Amino acid sequence: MTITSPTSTRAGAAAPARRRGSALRRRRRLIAWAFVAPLLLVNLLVITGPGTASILLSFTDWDGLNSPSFVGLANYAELFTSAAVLNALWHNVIWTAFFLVVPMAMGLVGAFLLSRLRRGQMLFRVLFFIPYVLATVISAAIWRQIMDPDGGIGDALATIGIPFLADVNFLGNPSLALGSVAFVNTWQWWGFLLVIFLAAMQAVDPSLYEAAKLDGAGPVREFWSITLPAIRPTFVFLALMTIIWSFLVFDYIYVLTQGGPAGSTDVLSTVLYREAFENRRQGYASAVAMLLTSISAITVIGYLVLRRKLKWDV
Amino acid sequence: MNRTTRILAAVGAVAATALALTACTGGGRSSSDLTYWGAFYSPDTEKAFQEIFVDGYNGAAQTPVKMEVKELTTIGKLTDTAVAAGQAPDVIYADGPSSASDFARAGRTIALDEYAQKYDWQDKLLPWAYELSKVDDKLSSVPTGYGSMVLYYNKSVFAEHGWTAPTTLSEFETVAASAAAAGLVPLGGGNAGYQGMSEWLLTAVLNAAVGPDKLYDVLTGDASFTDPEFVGAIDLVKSWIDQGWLAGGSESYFTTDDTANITGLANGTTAMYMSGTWAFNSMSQVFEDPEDWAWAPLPSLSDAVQPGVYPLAIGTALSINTESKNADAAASFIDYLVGDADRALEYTARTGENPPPLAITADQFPAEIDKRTVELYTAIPETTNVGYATWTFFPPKTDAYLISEFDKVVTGDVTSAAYLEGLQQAFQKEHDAGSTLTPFTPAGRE
Amino acid sequence: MSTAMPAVAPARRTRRRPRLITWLIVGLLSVYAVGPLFVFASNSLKSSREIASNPIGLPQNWNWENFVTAWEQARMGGALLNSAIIAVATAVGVALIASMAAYAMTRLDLPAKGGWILWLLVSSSLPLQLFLVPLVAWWSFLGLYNERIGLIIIYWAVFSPFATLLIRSFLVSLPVEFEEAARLDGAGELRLFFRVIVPMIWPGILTAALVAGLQAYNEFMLAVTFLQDRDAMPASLSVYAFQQGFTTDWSLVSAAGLIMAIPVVIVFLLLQRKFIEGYASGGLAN
Repeated sequence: MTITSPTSTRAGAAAPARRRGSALRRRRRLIAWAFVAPLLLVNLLVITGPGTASILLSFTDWDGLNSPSFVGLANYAELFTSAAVLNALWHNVIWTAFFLVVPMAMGLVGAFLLSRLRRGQMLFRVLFFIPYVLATVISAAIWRQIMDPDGGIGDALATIGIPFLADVNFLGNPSLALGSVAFVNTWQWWGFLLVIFLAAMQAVDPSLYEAAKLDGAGPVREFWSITLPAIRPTFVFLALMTIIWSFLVFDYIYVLTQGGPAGSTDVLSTVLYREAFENRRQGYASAVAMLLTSISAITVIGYLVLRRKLKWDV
Repeated sequence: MNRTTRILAAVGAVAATALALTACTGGGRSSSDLTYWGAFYSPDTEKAFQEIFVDGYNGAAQTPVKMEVKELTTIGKLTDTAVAAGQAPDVIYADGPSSASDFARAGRTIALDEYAQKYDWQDKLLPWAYELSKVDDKLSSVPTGYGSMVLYYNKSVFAEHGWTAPTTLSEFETVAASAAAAGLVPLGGGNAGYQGMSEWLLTAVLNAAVGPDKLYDVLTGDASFTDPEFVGAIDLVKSWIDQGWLAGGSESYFTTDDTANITGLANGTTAMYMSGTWAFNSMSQVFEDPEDWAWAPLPSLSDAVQPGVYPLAIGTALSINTESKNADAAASFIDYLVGDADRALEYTARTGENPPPLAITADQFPAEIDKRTVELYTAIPETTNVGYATWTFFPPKTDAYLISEFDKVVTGDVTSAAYLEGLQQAFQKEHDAGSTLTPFTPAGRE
Repeated sequence: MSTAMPAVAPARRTRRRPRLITWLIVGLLSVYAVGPLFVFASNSLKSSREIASNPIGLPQNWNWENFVTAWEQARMGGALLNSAIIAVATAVGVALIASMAAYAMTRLDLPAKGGWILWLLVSSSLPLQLFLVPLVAWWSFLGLYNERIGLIIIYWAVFSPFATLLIRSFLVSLPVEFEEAARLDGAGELRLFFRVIVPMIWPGILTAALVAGLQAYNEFMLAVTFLQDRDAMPASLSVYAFQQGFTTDWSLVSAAGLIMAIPVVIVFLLLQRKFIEGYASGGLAN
């Protein structure tokens, strides 16, 4: 594929007259709206519409069956003082911190190393990505067997002389459960980050690397000075998504521990799920959802402000 | 990317979208279909139900029934969502009269008294089940399966260690201690994968340690969950956990599921397991020699209770959607499920599923039925020592609290007293709001 | 997981081979990624009883019939077809919707750019569990409940925000000269988009489409709520068909999971060439 190379001046299309300029701009704006229309449409239909219903429901005591009645801020008052909600919120924070560091680092390093391999890049990329391909329930099944206190990895390691993991009940011990679930989720998640980072890294201009090599830079310098800055938009974007998704996290926790043991892996969305479906409190659950969304909104606004301040073009 | 590939991609896109659009024949429900959502223990059970009940009914009926199969673990939530959105099927499933009562109180299901008269349900169904299914004195659901809680054990393992099924607390503790010494898990338990399993244990313990009399009082508001008998019962469970008798300890409790317990019994690594009578089928499947498992009535776990208490439970309760256009057909389908004892017993013989709460005499049981099932369903009607299963007799939010907060008792994060405090509070709210059910009066109370 | 890079080596010639440490790290990561898959494969061959007593070892007997049982019990033939239709339609739809929207947000004169980002991110942060009831009611009203296309549209809405922002992050680092020139040359916007922009960010679009298709393939909660008819159900629901009452038959789940995963891996392998071709021949070489 070739792209017609640009010519620097085009006398024929010299600066359009003012009137034509504004018409052109209006036309471009219309086209912009046309291009974004499909997204707008499906989003309004599926998300914003029902989402607004959720906002309204958060001010009621709806149980899903009877007619809702308005309760003002009672739900919010309850959730800010609820030990269960605060406990869950804290777990979300821990989860976010973990996922901003561990899988991101693994994805970055893995992608960087892979981008430098000529042979086998394809093979490794597939290998690293395969866990992401599996459905949650499958990964959970695999790791549940591995973490089985009776015959799982702990016992297997003990037979080859590494005894300290034997008898550890990863998912049953309240102090270990959250970390264990995070570990399982990481196994599935980091390959996804790697593939995206790799795609971004491969779009980086090779001539920059050539120049750096001539300067005598080693791989670490290349990574910090060239790769990272070049993929900053992707990196920032994924970091943002990580924060948002960490507050939304549900699947692995639900499948592996259902928020147990004794609430040690409870997060906001498991609280929400329980309140909505088991306790039949859709109104209250909507308020919890609003809390979740507000946290995301604050994060995004923070990002936008930072973006303007640091003059990123991201 | 070259032209050919791009064209191919465009064609592919159009084709996929077209396929999606044209191939979406979906399951548009026509109003002439009678819909029923069912969930089954195993594919064989589903097949038996399809043949005996669905095909059998459709053979003679004017409005055929269309059954959509769901999973036991999701059917409750799916039904809730569908009911809330006005998309529920004609025949609505609930896992007991307690959940069904929520629908009735919200006006989503109709009262069934006229059908009860027409089909004679009041006479056919056992009185305690019939009364339980009423809301505001009107019949709101029809129970289609009833069972109880029992103690399971492995005959060979017991013989090998010289144990007999315990009937009193001290006998139970002797067997448990002996099992622990032999390296077995004395009592199976756990709630991995389905938090609700905790209430199987709690039903057994509450009925066997506190007793039906006291439970009746508490359910009608004449006693409190914070009374010493209840504290004693929960403390008993805690002692089992601390000694490592229950599921092998608090951590294992959270990672052991039902299958693991049954497998443990079969493999001889678990000595006893208190579970519901729905598990008869699983026992026969998991045990290499299906004759090797046995059930015994629950031992008495305190002096206040007679040995051999059978907590009564209703596993499925069906109601009719208010918006159904086929209410009459729905009622006749429900009658097809519960009205005929022989048909119901044929299903039980084939699948081991609990029969409906009908008055059945011993001679009505077909020959192929497992002897143990016959023993159970002849023992229960003959005894007066019957109790209350929590998921059947407790109001919904109280039951939810019972299950969800029990985890903290297991980890020791909460004392028995505090746990029962909360339980009483939850119950009080529902009692005051009038959303409790009518428990049958225990024997000797009239 | 942390990695310690060695100190910078003395200046080398331009073409250098990857160091040993690179291979070491990549090797470790491979074991971490792939090791558990052996547990997966061996579990699919065990009997259900054996999994309880021997969770991660090799199977005693190789029960190949597990695959047959899983296939039949979960009706995987039809389910896989449904999954394929849903996943492909989702991928294609999302790729189109997202790339057009991302283009509008970065290159065309869409007002309030920050606002769009905010809206996209916030709407993708709303927990789906709460949508179920209003959406079911809404969808039945529109006649889309219990229809495959209804689920697909939901997937378009749910998976597009991430895809849009992903493609946007690729677009942002592209220089504008090419389009400006093409525009001055008189190219129409649509033609410009498909002929100039799309090829340049093709790896990004492909990644976004792949991710969306994969998410749709594995998605469970929306599928189980919006598709009631057994014949319309995708494979992601099939693995839930192995519940024995309140617990799961893990050997059959593993077998079904393997059946589900293999087509995706194959598709991914086939697409690998596209990825590499996209980079190698095109790109932004000036």
